[in-house]
Amino acid sequence: MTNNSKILPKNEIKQIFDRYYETLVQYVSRFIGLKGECEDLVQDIFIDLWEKENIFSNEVVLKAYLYKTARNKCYNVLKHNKVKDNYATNKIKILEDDSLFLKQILEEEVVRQLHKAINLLPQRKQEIIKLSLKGLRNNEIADTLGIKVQTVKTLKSQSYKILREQFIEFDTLIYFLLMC
Amino acid sequence: MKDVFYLSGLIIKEKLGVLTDLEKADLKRLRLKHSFSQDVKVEDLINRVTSYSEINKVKAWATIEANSRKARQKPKLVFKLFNRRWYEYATAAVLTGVIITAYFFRDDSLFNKVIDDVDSQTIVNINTIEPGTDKAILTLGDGSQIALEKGESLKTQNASSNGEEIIYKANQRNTKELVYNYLTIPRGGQFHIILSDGTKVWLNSESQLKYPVNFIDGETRQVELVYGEAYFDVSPSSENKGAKFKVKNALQEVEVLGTEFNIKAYKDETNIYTTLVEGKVTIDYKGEKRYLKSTEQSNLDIVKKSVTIRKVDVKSEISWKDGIFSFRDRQLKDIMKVISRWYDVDVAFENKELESVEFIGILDKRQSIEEILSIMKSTSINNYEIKDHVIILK
Repeated sequence: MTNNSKILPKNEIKQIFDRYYETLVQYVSRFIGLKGECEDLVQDIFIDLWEKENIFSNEVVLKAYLYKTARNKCYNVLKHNKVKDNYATNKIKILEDDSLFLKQILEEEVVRQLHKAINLLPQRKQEIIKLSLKGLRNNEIADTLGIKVQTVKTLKSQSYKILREQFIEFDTLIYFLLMC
Repeated sequence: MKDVFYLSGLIIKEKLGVLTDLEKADLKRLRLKHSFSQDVKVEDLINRVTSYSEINKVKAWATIEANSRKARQKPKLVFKLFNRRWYEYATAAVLTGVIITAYFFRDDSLFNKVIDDVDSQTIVNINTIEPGTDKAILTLGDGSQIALEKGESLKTQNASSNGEEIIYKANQRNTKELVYNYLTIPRGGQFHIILSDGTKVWLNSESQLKYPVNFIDGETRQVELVYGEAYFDVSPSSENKGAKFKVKNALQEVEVLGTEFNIKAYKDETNIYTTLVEGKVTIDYKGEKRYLKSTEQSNLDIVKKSVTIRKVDVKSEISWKDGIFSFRDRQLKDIMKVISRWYDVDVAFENKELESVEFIGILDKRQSIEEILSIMKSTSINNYEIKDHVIILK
């Protein structure tokens, strides 16, 4: 991405979509009840992104833009809702709280990266690793899935190995470069 | 926010036990700095990872792509590319296929496979399949019938027609007894009617409306959509001495004060859809009343005997009255039903898999059937054949 303002080409929009679509839908669904409505709202964010000239000097700026836009859109929807029940009033309060906003983004970002990494595993390993990350012991996982404890052990250690490789590559260096 | 993004990676790494010493220090520092992060834990978030799979990304991207381009270029331009005879488009479709896919494409990833099949021979016995026109049959109180068609004008005691619409004279006072007329729209037809109270009704192909020539002053105005699809722009109660307006059907009754809505109740379908554009309506099904808010649609499932209400894209639901068919995530079998009514053809699916393929697209009602089929052929169906008013999709 460059520093010049420009209309993003289709392949870049698609990449951004692939990376953040589900995450944004999940974030929005914290505030908007209907799943279809959440998806519509997030789709609008990408349509806007495509139509407008944008300046995103790096991924962090872009990501911040996406979350902030989602937050604003939710806020507008709830504010303009004629029916203001307790549910909506409560959601508006949460949306207005900056520190809660950061906490929710933190959660969504953890989920996004976990999903990306776990999704690389075959189905059975995905099930095992998710249960293990939830805190279940080997025998509990074996019971839940109806498989042998030994199988759980083997597949689990293989899965963790793959998962760790995903995250070790993230270098602390990147963070400091972005700080500059 | 940068801290938050960095922190999210550290939290996962901590769980996986792959933090470097430097990162450990960072994590400690940032957890203290942002106290909200202290109770963010991987184990509590795993369920959110699972719910990612409930999201249909392919469909979402298709919608984004369709809508983004729509904003830049009006869809009608695309159809103009096809002002040629059907047998010439085989090659044109190859050249323009990419553009067209944006407006009428399969809603799944399979659509890549068929584009190169465009050259296969299409059998059409060109004769008489034409887009629908303005036409209707008017049945008077005494049972006599008059055909209304573009170019033919009609004048009766109560109404006049130019062949495109029929207008009833404003309510005459002292109407004591109701006299009913019927307007029947055949397949391949559409018509517009203005009732004596000023209510406007657009009728779609294969529909029938029963209505009184005059309404009784101050009493509930009642019409019946015997079958088919109609869009009502109801003259407000305030202009009719407070008289409500009711649309009856064999199964439900819709009561309104003054509003715009669409009812779709086809004989060959097992659902009745009522879509409210604006205002307020009450739907009465077996004595149970439900209220619709604007942009909501009720779906009366005749088989399940249930009513469900959801929000819909109103523009797409009522576009038929403005000369456009707009489909959003609709299965091909439903789209072909609409097409078969307007072009008065029958449709057979030789390839059953095609029935449930979903489409997003906009079609101009003036297009010839071959033009529409060739657009589909360039993106999704392998081939088609037209024979004696039957379209066979392969």
